[in-house]
Amino acid sequence: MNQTHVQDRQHWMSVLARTSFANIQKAWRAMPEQPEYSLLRQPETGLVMIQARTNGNGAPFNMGEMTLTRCSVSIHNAIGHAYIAGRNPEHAELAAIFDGLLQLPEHNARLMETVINPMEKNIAEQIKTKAKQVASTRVDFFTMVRGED
Amino acid sequence: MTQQILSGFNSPVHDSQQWYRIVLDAMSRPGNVCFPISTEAFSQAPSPCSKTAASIALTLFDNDTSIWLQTSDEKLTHWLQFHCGCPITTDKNAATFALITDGNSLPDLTQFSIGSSEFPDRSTTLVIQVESVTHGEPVEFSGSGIATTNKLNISGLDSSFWETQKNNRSLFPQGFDTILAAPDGVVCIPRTTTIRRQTPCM
Repeated sequence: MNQTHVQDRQHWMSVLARTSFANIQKAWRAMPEQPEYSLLRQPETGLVMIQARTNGNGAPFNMGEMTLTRCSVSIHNAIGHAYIAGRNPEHAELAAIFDGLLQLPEHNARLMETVINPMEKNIAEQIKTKAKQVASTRVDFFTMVRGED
Repeated sequence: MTQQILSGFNSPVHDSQQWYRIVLDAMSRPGNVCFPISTEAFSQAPSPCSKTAASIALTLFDNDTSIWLQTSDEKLTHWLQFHCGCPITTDKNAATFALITDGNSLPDLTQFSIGSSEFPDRSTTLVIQVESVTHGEPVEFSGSGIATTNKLNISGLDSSFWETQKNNRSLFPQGFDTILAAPDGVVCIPRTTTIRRQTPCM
């Protein structure tokens, strides 16, 4: 697997993990034929420790644990993995299936066009809407300079 | 393309609990042949492992246990790393478990860790694949966990093992423990077990 492939895969895995369950389910149902697959690792939920850095450059510290669900499937000649936030086993399973399919050259271009790109657009829109909602309640604080007396 | 990996337990929680119980029973009653009630824990074991040895591996190995492998088979290594997340080591003395897939050609067992006198529990546990624990050479077990003696038949295990176990017994409280994994059952030989071979009369 070459470097560009790794970056492409990181991209689609990220989109599949962040999209809503409704979207990924819709994409799966819209598939012209649903491919056969076998579960290598059934969806399982666990905790991962999130590390953070103060200001983005301080010493790393453990910020807290978050729930994560992972799944691995074997599909045709590929192995698909998925790690998603939360505890939705079906989401993890579908994300792993799509990851497996996207690795196959015969499916990649079509799926990127019909599944990943719309999902990505949808995520971007949601972020924008949320940012707008938050911005409307923004409060600016001014500190008045007071005299000493 | 990517390398194919075989799947693990069909029902990871229940199967590993069942197998843990089996190993626990076998270890507390040395010489008893223990076997699961349902053997449909998985569809296909990675060669050269039998389903028994593979089940024990899935049950006991994890990211805290370093494993010494007799075979350098890439598929088996990948399989263990994927399902157990265990580090693979080539240093016999550092291994928590040793997976010996061919009981007929044993490595030098004295090189495995026997623990220290402060921490005798930090020894290597050997998982040895044998052909059968119900047919073959008759042996007699005695020691802790056995009321009088326990007779059983083992085949597919190199005869040098019995001599090594005799020395191992004398190292107590240090020493390694052994799990014999055969397609027809699991037998454990902890460091406390004395073995008498019943060599047939001429």
